[in-house]
Amino acid sequence: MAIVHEIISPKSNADKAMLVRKLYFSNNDYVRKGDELVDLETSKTAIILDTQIEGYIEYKIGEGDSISVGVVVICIHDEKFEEVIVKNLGDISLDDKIISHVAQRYIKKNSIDVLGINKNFITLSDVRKNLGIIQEGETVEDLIETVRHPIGLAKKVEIEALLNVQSGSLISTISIDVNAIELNKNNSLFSSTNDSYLPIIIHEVSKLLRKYPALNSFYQNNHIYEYIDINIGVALDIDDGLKVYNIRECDDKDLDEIKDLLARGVYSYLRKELTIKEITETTFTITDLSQYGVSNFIPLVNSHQSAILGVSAVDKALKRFSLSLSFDHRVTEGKSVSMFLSDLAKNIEQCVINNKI
Amino acid sequence: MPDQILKEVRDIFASVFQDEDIMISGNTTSQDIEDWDSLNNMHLIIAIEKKYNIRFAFGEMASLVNVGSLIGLIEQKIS
Repeated sequence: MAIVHEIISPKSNADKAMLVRKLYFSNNDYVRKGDELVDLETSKTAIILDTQIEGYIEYKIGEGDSISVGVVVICIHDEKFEEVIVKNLGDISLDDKIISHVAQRYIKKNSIDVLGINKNFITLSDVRKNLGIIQEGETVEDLIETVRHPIGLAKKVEIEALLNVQSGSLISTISIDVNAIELNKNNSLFSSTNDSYLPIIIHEVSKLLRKYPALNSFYQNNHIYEYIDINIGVALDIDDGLKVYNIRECDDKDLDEIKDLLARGVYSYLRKELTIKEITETTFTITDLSQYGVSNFIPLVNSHQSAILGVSAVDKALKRFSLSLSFDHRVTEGKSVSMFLSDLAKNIEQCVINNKI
Repeated sequence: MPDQILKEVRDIFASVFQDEDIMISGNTTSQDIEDWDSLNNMHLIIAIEKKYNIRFAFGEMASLVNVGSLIGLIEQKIS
């Protein structure tokens, strides 16, 4: 019996690790050339690994595992191989071991051999460490039973990006109300922006950022870095996780171009076809929760940015909606942001009026 | 054929707008359905593309004025 082929987790441009989403076979199944073996997820995309060699498959990974790039994830054997003998809890002598209730359930459910764990009191963390699912130093909740859901790499990147700014900076938020003048609807069946102020907001923000460049900047190591381009990121979170779609050099575009690009972005998002270029290198972010009826919220500033604008729903009774700008106090301050919001509210109202004519 | 497509498109509308009793005709526009917002708009397009295994170009979508013109475009693409 010999291993005839090893399959290695591929290198990724963006990540050092990836998540195992799905295994298509079980150990010792016979796989043929071209068979898809496993789904892996990076922060940007999904990868399916297949085999070019026939044989009996041995997975070195499990669904939900977070794995490094460049490691062996699958071996192909020329004949059936002997799996590591697993023992059910019933087979284990518990004379000198105490196993926590949660760990017992986990061991039973997954038919895990715990004899190799050299401890008298075995917790769920011990079992998972023994399996290599978690590393030394990591802990899991052992006392209260929980269902463990692995976080996708896209979510991990999102957390890192937001923590970078929120944990080390001075974030403040200021809001302003904008008169919700009725939009001029066109006759197109699929005009994607008929009902939304978002294209107008994007248009006016991008123009105004030339006047308030501190909001198109970021802070790092006692310096403020001002972006040359104005790339407006629009946060999309519909059914494929949070992605920030980039409308590049937005201040050079007119309202119709922005409407078109925005619709294309949402369209590509729903088709899961956004490219890396379309979701990177934004310099200012707008997040629109108006579809969910929120009256006000505090958006979180992204990494390498100094501000983010939140768009709330129209209050139909008062005929207005709220804009909230969270900003990094190391880069700018409340007075400038208040002036920016005041200018923005006026410009949005004027833009709506102009487009009704 | 258009009647069959209209029936199938109606089922897609029912699913997207979560309204089993939704009624549409060739003259229906986005103004006639209260929940027809920009997001449902995109969901409709994607659902229709999946159903008929077709893809719309942006210019094509912009030129549609009502459900009748949508059905005409679907018919043209699947024929």
